[in-house]
Amino acid sequence: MTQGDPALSPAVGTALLVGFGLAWIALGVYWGRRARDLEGYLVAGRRVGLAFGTATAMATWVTSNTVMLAPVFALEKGVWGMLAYATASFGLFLFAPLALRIRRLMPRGYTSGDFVRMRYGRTAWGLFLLISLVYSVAWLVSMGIAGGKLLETLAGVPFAWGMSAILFVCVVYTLFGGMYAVIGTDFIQSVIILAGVLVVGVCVLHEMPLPQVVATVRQEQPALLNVLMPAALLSLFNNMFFGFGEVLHNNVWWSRAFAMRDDVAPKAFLLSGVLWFPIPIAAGFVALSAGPLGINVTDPNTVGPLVASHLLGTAGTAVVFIVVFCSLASSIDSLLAATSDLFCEDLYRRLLNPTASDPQLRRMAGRIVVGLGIATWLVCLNEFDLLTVLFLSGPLVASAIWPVITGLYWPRTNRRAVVAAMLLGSGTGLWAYFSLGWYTASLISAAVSMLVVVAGTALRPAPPFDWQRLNESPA
Amino acid sequence: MNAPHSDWPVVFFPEPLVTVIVIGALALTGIGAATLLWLLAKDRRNRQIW
Repeated sequence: MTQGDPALSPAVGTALLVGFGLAWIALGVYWGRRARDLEGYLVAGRRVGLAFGTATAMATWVTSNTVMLAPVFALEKGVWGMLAYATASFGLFLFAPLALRIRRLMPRGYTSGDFVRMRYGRTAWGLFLLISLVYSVAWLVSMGIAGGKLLETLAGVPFAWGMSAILFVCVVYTLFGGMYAVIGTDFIQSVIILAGVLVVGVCVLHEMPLPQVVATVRQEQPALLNVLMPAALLSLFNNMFFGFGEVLHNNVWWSRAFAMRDDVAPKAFLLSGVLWFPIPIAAGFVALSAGPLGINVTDPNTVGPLVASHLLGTAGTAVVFIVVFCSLASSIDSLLAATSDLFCEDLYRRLLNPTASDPQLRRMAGRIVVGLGIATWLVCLNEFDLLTVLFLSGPLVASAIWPVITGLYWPRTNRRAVVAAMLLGSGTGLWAYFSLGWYTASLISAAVSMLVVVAGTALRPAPPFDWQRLNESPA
Repeated sequence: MNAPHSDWPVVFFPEPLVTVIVIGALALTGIGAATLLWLLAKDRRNRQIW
């Protein structure tokens, strides 16, 4: 495979897409038979066990960016780049104790928006929803675009067709199976992703021993092995805080916490972090070996498939294709389900139709999944740069870290300080993004947000919050 | 003016450390896949999948 020359024929690529697509839809419909009521559809009955819980948290966090952008990090920032991407797993570690707290405080909760509304009131809720929806839609769009580009690069399938097919498959099985379908398919996708990354990594090692990779990189691109590379060190902390913000605020994770049994939730998030941590490193190593293997990389986004096809031919490209397809599907389905929950619970039920019955809400959730899929498809038709879409939302979500943590643990957190923290954190973070560099944006946003929440609460503590107000269980 | 950090020190990651990082990551990936399958079997035995 050379760049611009697909390694798979369009027929093979289409066959893989159709085969896996039909499998996900069939499994989604099969598992979705359990989703008879609203609670089943939105949070899989709140009884998900450790295996499925761990796999769904891990698979959702393995996005196409993990597999395709982690190599870019390694190519640009070397060993620190690989480790920087891996620090996104710390968000899952940090969420583990919070998940237990969330399950206990909100045994009947559905969304992260529910928490912010009940904890901080409507102003903070509106701002939080705006941040969350911007981020979720940006994530969805970046996944759709990545999917289209993947099919085009690997198999020569036109971008619009490939992107449409991936979105269609995910919308169909999420629509029919809700959270049951999402979590069930996530398990199979997790195992495929881990096995695929391992196969490609071992093949690279077999072909190009590590000492040879290190020696060649040290000679030709010494900066990539420099322990004191300033931008790489900054990106390490920036990525960690970006990850904290993404996981802590987003309903993708909250809905999983609500779906798992309460004794399972913390263990599942902890274990999913451990399972996720090595994936960007393994994928990054594949990219670092491109130079020593004599592969000329002009488009860093395709370095993974390039190396795989160089070593394993068509079979290697097919493995990467399947891994990235699983990564895409596991994230797109989760985003569709969790974001439709936000629209259904926070906007439709709380704002538009407070007396809606559960069957009405169940129908509305399905309609929102379809609407969200169509909206994403329309936006995806205009291609955006992957990195820009991903990182522009970083400072916004990082500003929500402290409002979420202090809201869960401090009874006297100041509501106005929380609103100011999200506004100022997002504003300064966006300024840093454009003025200093993307690798500082989330870091600055989180720092400003923390200062505002802590100072505001210290200077003007709110009356103690009654935690029982978060429990919406029938008396 | 346009050459920032030209006098910035260069300290290389030692090769054994890079080896530990990469081999460790690949090993953890394999262990992760096996762990998921083992957990599924356990949940299935205890009827705790869902």
